[in-house]
Amino acid sequence: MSVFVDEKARLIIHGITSTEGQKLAQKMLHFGTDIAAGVVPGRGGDWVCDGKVPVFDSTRSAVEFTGANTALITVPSRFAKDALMECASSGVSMVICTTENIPMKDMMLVKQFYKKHNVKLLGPSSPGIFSPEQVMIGSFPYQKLRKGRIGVVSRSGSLTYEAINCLAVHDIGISTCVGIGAAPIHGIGFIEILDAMQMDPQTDEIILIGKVDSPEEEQALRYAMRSILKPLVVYLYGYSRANNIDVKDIERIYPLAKTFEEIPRLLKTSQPKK
Amino acid sequence: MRLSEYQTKQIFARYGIPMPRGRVASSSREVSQIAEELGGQVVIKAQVLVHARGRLGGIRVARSVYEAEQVSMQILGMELGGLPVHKVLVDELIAFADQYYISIETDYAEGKPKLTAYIIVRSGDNGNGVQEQNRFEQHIDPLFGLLEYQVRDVAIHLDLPREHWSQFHNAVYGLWRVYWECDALSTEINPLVICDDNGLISLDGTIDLDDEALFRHLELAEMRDFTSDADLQNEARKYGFNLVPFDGNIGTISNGAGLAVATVDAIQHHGGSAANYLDAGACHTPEKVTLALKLTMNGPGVTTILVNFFGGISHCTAVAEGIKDLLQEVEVEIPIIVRLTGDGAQEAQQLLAELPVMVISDFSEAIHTAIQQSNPANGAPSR
Repeated sequence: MSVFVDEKARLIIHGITSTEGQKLAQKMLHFGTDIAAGVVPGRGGDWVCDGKVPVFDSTRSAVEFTGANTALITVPSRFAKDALMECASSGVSMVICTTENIPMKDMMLVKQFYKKHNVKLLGPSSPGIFSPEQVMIGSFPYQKLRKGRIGVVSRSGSLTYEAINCLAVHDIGISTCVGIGAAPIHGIGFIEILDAMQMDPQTDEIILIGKVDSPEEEQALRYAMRSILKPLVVYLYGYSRANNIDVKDIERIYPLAKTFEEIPRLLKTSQPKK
Repeated sequence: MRLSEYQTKQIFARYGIPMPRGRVASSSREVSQIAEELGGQVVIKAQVLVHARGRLGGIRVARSVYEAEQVSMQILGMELGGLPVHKVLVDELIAFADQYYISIETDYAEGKPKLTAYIIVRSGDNGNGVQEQNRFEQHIDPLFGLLEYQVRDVAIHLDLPREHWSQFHNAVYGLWRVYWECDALSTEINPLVICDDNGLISLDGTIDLDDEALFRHLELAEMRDFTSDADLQNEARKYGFNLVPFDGNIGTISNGAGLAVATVDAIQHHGGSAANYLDAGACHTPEKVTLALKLTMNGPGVTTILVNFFGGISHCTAVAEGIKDLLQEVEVEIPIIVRLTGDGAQEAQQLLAELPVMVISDFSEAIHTAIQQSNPANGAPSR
């Protein structure tokens, strides 16, 4: 099973005609993600991805015509606020945003807007969400990975890939991999994902990749100690340059990896191949 | 992007925050002229972006035009926290008793602005130590902005005499407008004082602007003080890289902040020493990679380069082509270790096969090789 999205996800891509948008779309089509439409204001009526995907001028019309229920946003940062708000009010229930470097003021307004419309937001700066053989929204090195029972939640996009890579080398499969995104103000956070993975019968153990000296990680780990019954392996990047790193509390409860190659050995429920 | 005090003053003035009269100067002649206009009694403040300027000797009082000139000669040209002082702010000397702290900053966890205020010193209180108990903190709803009652609540909390409420409202509301309209991450008035002639005045302030929002504030973007960062950092910023210099000898380049930090972590963990952290972001074109390599190569103390990319949004072939272009353009004498994995890694490795670089696909093997290469005992060039 997966958390937050499943194979019923019918996707629209806001910003599908850009280099990045095209790349994401091709990758997802290749995986088998159900891409219903693209949205680019001023390009409505076009067809992209070898004529497979129609482009609409607005998210609303794309949702009306195709019945899409999920949106992926990959537009330049200065247009992100508008795209995010447009998606939230278009009828989809989940929005994933890969755009980086969105102004803080824009994100403050976006966050309030999402609360009001009761729509879930993953990101910005999120690599997306991925359950092998099931659903991929965003970009992951999916060829490498098999289905399994480890959940991965990460702040950093590049380290999400690194973790997946490392698990693949040791032939350890994953249930769901979620990137919350490195933006300081973002949607779904660690705690919400830990809760979802706790409830997910397909997940036995969780790998949490976060930043040292970050209040959100600290709060999430404290929450996990009280409320998450599944075992956790933690990797906190930035430890070599941290000022006042206090991980003794964490280390007493959870194995703390210093390098990625340590992660497979620290897992309790899956054994690395060699 | 932090602004200097004199720049902050210029912006505060636009939003109606009351401030002492005064101007910025870059020579002692200008200083004496300004001091004369202000009646002789002035405060001279070094304009550098370091903390605790006062304690470092960067803020001095002068009681006459002559003294102002003498003092400014000492301050202009001195170094504060490693930064040279090129400019001083000359402000009229204000006599005051009560001092307050007011700030508006972004609370990232809440996703809302937060207003903070406390009493620094009040006549009648003996000594400091009152501030912590007296701290006022309240979030501002970004949809509605700062509301009048919130400002009143602060005034009541600080036990501010009523005769100052209207002026206080103007100052705090002005600060809110600075924060919101300039896309600041934080802004503060520190201290706001009640002067002996009974008016409120902001004696000093700070503004930290959101770099990502500068595209809609071109005039503010031009205020950047390039002396407060290393040249390398300023250069990196031009290309959209995030670079932080360290004092080691392995120059690193990665895509994505997490991977860049993890690369530095792994180097330190295995006993090596990183010269920098460079997050090149998404690299679709070889040019960006070549630029990142040049910047890193020319960094102080770099004896080895480690390129660590995970292909996804950045395609590995763009990285390989960037390295190839660099080697054709300039002669590189230091070892380059390249670790590429993910999208396009195989093609990229073929592209690099003929070149004098070490191509490795495993993360920790690449780290170990870089450390070994950077060790002078193993024949690494020392610089």
